[in-house]
Amino acid sequence: MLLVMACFLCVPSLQASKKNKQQPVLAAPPDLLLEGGRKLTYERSFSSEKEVRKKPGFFGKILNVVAGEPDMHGLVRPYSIAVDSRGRAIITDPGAGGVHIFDFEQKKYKFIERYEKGRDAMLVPQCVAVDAQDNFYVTDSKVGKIFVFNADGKYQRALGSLKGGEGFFKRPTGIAVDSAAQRIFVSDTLRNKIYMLDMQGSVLRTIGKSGQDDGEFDYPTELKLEGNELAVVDALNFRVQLVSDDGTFKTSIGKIGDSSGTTFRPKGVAIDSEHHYYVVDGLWGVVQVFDREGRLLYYFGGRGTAPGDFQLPAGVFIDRNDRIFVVDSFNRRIQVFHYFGQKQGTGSGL
Amino acid sequence: MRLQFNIAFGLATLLLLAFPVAAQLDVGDNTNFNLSGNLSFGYNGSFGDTVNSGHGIAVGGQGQLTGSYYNPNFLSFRMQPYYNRSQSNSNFQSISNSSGFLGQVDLFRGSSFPAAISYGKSMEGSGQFGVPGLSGLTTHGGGQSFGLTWSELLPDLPSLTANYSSNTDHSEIFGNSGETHSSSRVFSLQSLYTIDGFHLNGNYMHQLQQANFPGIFAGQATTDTSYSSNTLSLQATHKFLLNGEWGGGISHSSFGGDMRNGNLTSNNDGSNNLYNTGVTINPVPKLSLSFTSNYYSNVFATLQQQFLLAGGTPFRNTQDWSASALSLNGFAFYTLTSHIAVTGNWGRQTLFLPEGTRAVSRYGGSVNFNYAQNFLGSFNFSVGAVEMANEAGNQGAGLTGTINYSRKINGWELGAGFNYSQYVQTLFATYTTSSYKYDASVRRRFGDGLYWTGSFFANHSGLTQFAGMSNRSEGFNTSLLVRRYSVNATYTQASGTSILTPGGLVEVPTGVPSDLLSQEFQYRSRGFGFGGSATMKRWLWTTNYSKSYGNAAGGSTLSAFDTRTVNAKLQYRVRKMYFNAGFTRFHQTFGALGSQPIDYNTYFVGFSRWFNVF
Repeated sequence: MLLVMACFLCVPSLQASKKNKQQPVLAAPPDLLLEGGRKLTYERSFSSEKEVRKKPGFFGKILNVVAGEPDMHGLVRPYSIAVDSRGRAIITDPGAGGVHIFDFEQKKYKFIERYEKGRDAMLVPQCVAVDAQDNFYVTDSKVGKIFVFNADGKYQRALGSLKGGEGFFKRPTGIAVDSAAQRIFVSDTLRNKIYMLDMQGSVLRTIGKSGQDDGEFDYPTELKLEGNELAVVDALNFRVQLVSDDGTFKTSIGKIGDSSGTTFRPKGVAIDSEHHYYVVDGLWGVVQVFDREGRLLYYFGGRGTAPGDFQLPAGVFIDRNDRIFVVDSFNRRIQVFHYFGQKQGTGSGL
Repeated sequence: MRLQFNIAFGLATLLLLAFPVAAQLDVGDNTNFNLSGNLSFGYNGSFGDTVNSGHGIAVGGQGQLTGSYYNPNFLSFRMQPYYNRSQSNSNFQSISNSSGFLGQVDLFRGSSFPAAISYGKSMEGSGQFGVPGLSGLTTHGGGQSFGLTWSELLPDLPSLTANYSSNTDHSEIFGNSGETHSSSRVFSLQSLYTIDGFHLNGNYMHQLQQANFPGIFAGQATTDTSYSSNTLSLQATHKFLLNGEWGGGISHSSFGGDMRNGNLTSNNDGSNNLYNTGVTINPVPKLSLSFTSNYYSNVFATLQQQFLLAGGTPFRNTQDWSASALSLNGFAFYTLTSHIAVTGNWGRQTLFLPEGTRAVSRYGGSVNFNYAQNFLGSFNFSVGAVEMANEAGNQGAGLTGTINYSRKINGWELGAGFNYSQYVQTLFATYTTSSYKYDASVRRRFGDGLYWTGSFFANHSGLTQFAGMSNRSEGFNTSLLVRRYSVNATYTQASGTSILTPGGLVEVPTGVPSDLLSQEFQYRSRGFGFGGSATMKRWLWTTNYSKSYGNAAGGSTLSAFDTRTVNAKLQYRVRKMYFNAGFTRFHQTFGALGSQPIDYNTYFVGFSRWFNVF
């Protein structure tokens, strides 16, 4: 009983003398004011399931005390992101071996994994794209397949799965879906080609070949589709190429270098409502914004851990309200910015 | 029971009161703590033919308090108390309920004068009485340990590190009466210094070991042993010509050992000086040459000391034995191609005995082949020969050989190794050892998530000049893994000559002839086991069965041992709570044929909760 008494006396006194040592709150970066009244603002970042879930009620708190807080998923090594028509953020995480779905409106979270499945196991989910019905398509760079999930996150099928179980693709990474034309575009990084598939996974056409000239690729990775034009991150040619869906070269953005306007480690690409191209540079930790002619308009970010900074950023996605979602991979978070163009007002939240 | 409740209630209250506290607690300006732990509560019982049956509520737990004052480099500490840690706490599958404490304090870490103090105490912990080739027989007991380390690491001055450690232990084999007590104390000093390119290393060590063994073997009387030694050494190295290095040193050691076993007593003491020097040169990148020489003023004392340090009892009274020895060795290594290298070696060992001098010369060489290719796997082998001769003429030839192989073939991963050596010289010029060992392994993936592995090994070693003084062991194990389900099986057998130490029977150290041993035990053992486990979301299930049996003879009387354990555990996790149920059936016999076995069955149902308090 002496021990119990000591506990009663000791612990509150410890708590009473606990210093309120608060972590310094890092300020959000200031708005970036641009020409023509445009501006870019920092909105927020998120990194774990805990930020989505509802706060526990009375009984929830009791349960937390008795059984402990539930295990919460968090981003481990996120790479790519897509946002569907419901505003849900779908994030591939090769480090966690699965796909996170953050639904802030419904306050729901889901983690999808298939690494233990006997057939068509998903091991390294790399990039993600969403179609008009909110089905999402995930490339697996290790097993060489594309996994298709419906809007509820339920597995539908695997594309590129050969009879023996192995994948057709050598290293599929970037993916884009053309819902109107019922086409899927996949970059096979090791083959230096873009494959155009039908919705059943049959190859309709290949685009590009190995090389450094226009229309040729050296380790193509992320893809983004706008209309019938494909933006391809041509990683080891240090540029983003724009090609039509029949493979015709249109133009390219970026070049090798270590100054503003060069793209030394291009990772992700996205396009806003004013047809500006947002190219993530993994080495410098910035997002550079170009016009179609390849002129640098502005950039944001920088290497660091503060809000608005990036460490090894990878994927980027811009929703229809010009919200920019940047995957800040090494900082294990997604950072959200909002671009206000000349003709645009504010949009709804996540 | 009342005490258990009070302690459990105290622990639970402490944890609950601390819930609102944040992730790390700061006390005052400079002190912070982290506390985490595990509390278990449940119902358990035990029954058996030779133990009292009982049942009741059991509580247990463990905690870890870490923290620092001012700065972790200034003062940091870690304290880990545990109470009633038994099978009712599913993480610890011990037969007995152990309690105890571990603690360590580090001071001035990273400074020029770092220090550390540690203390540990355990009560009713379970352990193993070793038997070569097996996991051993289950024991229960306790002990405590204390350690102190202090260093002086001033730049440009000789460093100094002082260590003191003290251990006391006692244990009893289930199914055998009588406790084994052992204690040891070690004090050491080490100093390092570099001056004019000479790297100097000075050491002093004082050791004291004492043990008391009950007559655990049939017909064996209680044995008391003690051993103490002092060793002082100085080593130096310096860069040498032709990309080489020179090294040399001197050491002096003295020791004393006593043993009493019934009417048998034995006493050893002595001292030895060792002078050694050696040089290695690399005149061209493909060629390496080395030469070493050692002089022992009393080679017999060196052997005795090595043996006593391994836990052995003193040799038979052989006070008048004395011999000095000089060994000279040369070695050459030449790389012919990227895959092939050749070596040559020469040695001469001279033993200066009162009755005269004995010398043995050795000449040998080997060819080494190494091949590795991504798709075809790797393969290397080395084969060599050694020729020995003394004044009387040729003493025979020996062989050495090593083969290692690994390859992947259509989903099969194969590996094999073989090692053979014959006539390897020991400290005594007249004694040589021979040994061989081989192993093989195979791993196969069948489709997604289904793996099978199997492996086999065999070892055999012994003194060439003493027929029957050898040790051998063989065994295999196999496992099948199907995603979250696995099964495994294992089998081992071993036989040979061993000595009794506080930790159990251990093989006679290499190079010790049997006619010097005051006690030796011939043993023969076999063991096998199998088990399985399954993980299904929050469920975890494991079941294991193991059986070991055999005998050991310390004279004319044979002692037999037989131990069997069945263990099953089921666990369900909800957040940080674990609901546990388990059953253990334990049977063990040790002693003369017909000894009364111990049968012990336990079961438990309960839960445990992990806390990260602050």
